[in-house]
Amino acid sequence: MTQITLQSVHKTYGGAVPVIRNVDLDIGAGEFCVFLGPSGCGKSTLLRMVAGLEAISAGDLHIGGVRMNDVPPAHREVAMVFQNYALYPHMSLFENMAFGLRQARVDPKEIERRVQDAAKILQITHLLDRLPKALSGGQRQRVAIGRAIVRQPSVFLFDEPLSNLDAALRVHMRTEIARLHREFNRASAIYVTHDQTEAMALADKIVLLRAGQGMLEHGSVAQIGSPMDLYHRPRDLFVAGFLGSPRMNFLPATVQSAERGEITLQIDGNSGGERLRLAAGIVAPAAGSRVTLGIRPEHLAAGPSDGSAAITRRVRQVEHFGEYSYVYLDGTEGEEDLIAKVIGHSPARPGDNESFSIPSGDCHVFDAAGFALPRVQA
Amino acid sequence: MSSIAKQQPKPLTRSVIWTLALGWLAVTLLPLAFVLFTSLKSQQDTFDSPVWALPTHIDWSHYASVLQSGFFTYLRNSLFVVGLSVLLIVIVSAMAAYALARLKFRFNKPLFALIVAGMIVPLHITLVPIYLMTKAIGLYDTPFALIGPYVATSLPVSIFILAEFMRQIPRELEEAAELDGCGPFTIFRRIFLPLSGPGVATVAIYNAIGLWNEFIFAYVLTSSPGNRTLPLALWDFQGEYSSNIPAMLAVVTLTSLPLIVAYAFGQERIVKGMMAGSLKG
Repeated sequence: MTQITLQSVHKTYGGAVPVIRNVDLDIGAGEFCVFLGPSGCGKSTLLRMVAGLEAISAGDLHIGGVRMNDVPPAHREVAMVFQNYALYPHMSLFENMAFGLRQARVDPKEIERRVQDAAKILQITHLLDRLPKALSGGQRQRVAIGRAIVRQPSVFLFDEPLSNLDAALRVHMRTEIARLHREFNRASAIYVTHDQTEAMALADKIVLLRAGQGMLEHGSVAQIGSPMDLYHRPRDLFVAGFLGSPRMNFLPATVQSAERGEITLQIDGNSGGERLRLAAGIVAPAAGSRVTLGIRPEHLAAGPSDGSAAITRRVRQVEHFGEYSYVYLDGTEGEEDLIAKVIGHSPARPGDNESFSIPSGDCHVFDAAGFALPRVQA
Repeated sequence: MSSIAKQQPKPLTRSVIWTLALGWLAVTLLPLAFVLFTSLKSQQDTFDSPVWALPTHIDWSHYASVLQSGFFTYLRNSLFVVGLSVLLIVIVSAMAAYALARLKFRFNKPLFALIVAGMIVPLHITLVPIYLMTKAIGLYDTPFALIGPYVATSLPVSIFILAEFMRQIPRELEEAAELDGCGPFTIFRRIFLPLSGPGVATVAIYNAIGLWNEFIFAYVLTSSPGNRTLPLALWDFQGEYSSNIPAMLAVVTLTSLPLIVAYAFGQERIVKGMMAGSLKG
């Protein structure tokens, strides 16, 4: 059953340039949905529209089958965890967690039970009498989550809850959030982050949002899907370049020929780029069409291939991390520098010419407009 | 850890600072000391000894005389008028500041500018209209006559101070309260008012001090001694003790004493309140 539905949702401030355009989205009961995107793409704004803290300029929001556009935040059965915790500084932790329930006139014994249960789950029972200023960042974040849990909402809303924490604590709290969501698995969750690692780790579904000109031309939503869907089957150059670190390598090229499931590309280059024949299984455009070949750093295989798809570039720099190495390659004219991720220690040295093969199955080909060419149906 | 040692002021600079500080201390303390010591002298002592001389013997009779001749009536009136005025100022200015600082409505900014512009209106041009209005509504020569003008003239600066305070409170607290089911009044009462404690204390102390010393409205709007406030005590006692300087200065000391005590306890709060808006919380 769909828990949250957004239909053609728009947001404009003062009738000027839109912030959110044309968002259509379904989030199922119990689903953990992550809003991901660059700064300014409107992911927090979209979350706040679901919460009722921002008005929806156009379109509809349904939660549990009920239209919520004009419903006050307290009546939407949502609970929010803010980026900077938003704990009431003059109230004890117990009072912070109980405040919403007192406003809702819940029975005091029930309030006590819910707060104690949530405190036990979050391991903060011993802190309930303290004020927020006496706690660390991680403890405050737990209390903020506890305040959401006691409301027993249908939807949890997280607005970059881990961005104020240090790296180690962020990893720990990420697993805590995942664990808590499993415990409250009938509630949906919407989680806003700009960190793709968090998104990939936590999400059942990622909604990748665009900003700027791309948003104005194509709408706010770049792609919706599972993390692996977006990673392995990006819909366009923006999605392909946003997910993955280091980002995908892009090589501008021209289609030479396409026949029998094979496509031959002439890579751009001043002194003549490579001609690559790929059995990519994609629906290729006509010969002479401009395309972009995308290949992730971890898919560039060191050493010449026994096939016909390989590139040779001069090594600019090598970084060794023990488990793997990054080899930075000079791009040709019109081409960005390339990065190859090599397992273990790479023997390449700056100044060397190194060859990397391009496995057909791991290629992505994008048309002149930047959209991924569809794969041939088996 | 910074490897750059903190620069210590040069000895000459420190000497200058100390000299200026001691000089300013003398300027502020010596008049008070003069008032106190002279009020403890006998009349004869006052005329016989040099101006800055200490009393040859401590004479409390002037204080006894002042306290027995109606001083407590003035004190009672001041406490009532200032206490009620400050309470009303705090309530009204806090609510107005919240509405102007946090609620979205048309003409919010022009209204705030208009209220703050009230600070520049000279009190004295309002004396005659306020006198006529007070007489017309039958409050003339009562302590209640002072409360309206005191509250009205204190609201602009109080709203200004509290509005700036309330703007510093993070918006997320308000949003969290909205999600918890609070309407604007509950948000004001349960969240903003408690968090504006330093600002409210600043407003209360600042206005209490100003209104305690207020003279012109008290002089114009009251006439009988039973309804007058402390600043008028000196005016009235002038007739009674016209040649008794120690007694006059005893009146001055007793009139100033409550303020000095209040300032001694509230000074840190006032400074913190004034400065809080300049720091990122």
